[in-house]
Amino acid sequence: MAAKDQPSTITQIYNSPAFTAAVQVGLFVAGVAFIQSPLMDFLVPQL
Amino acid sequence: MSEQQPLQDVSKMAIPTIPSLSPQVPKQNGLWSSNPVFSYLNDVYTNIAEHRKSLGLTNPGTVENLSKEVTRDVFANQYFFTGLRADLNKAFSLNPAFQTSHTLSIGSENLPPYAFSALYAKEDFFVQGNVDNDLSFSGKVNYGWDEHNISKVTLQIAHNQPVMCQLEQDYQANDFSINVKALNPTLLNGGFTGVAVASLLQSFTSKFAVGIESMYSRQALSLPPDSAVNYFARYNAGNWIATAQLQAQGALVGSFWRKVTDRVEAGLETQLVASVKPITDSMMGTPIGYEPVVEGQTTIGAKYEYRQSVFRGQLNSAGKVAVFMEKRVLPTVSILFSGEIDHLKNSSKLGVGLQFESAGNEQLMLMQQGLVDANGNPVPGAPQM
Repeated sequence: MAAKDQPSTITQIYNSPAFTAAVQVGLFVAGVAFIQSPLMDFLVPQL
Repeated sequence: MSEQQPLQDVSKMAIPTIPSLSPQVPKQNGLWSSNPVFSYLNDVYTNIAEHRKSLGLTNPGTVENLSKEVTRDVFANQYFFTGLRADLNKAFSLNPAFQTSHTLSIGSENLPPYAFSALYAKEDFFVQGNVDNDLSFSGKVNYGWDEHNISKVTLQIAHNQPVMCQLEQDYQANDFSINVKALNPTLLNGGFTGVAVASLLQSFTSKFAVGIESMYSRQALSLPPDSAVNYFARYNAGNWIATAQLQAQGALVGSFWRKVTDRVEAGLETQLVASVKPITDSMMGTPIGYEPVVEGQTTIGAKYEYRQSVFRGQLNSAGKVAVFMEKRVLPTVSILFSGEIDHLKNSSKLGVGLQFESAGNEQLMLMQQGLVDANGNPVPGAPQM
């Protein structure tokens, strides 16, 4: 009987709970930086 | 030899006194303050109260409204609908406010085909009722005993569902808020059954507040009770607010809100939910263990308020783009539009609605058309009748 293939290291990292948590925390930090940045001020319509 | 002062001017004489040696002035209010123990406790309480007052703390709001600026004001979730809808609103008076509303809907996932609601509100009293074509009823009564205390009763009688009754008490002090609520509480079964929740939100500085919420739940006496504790933090810097919630079920929620200008707000929310998933044997199908699972979602959105319209748009990490727009095309007619595209599932949802406002009397009608203000005075620049 053939040994079951182990998932690659990248797949293991991708499937780990820490990866999901890190991505979401990263998105939150990036979102805060975006909202606080001058980019958000540029998105205000000049009426 | 100095002149003798008359007796009646003795209070004006400069008599040096040492505070510690001056006789104690008897305090008023009898036993409560003249008793040394109670007097000491009173002094300690007064000192703490004065110190708290000197910190300049403000009321932090309630736990229920912790991230209201993001979830209710900016995000489109609670306004979102699908299918076609028409709202016919009629205002009969403004003070006290009394208005009725008929909502007709077709092709919607969550709206009933017909619903009627009525609202009556005064300064300290608010009652609202809603009934739909299935005769499902929901009602809410709020009564403000004073500026700090509000009692609330919520009742839901839905078709083929148990009756839900919630009793709630809000106490909002100068620097903290307490909320106590009970859902379907009863002692008739020989003990407490239902859900009881108590929460406290306390300001630590003028900007920072922390909170705790405790929940006790028991569906039946034959079942074991359940309890949970949630923790909250909120930082209000004036033009931006950050909040965090740690929930007992293993969820962590963070939110951020910024008032970009008077008419533009932006919000962000991240949810991380940790749970445990059973692992089953692929050959036998029997459980062989458990593995931790973390699911997360981040949503970013913005709200734009124009003179005649309000636009809300949002984007989340699951690939959903949603928009809700409300545009007033006439003084008494608004158009609602909501749309959502799920890029990962390749699906979309769409909702279009009309909202009609009508008035129960002539002055309200003139107000709705922007001809007079709330006091009945003509609005400058408006065409006169």
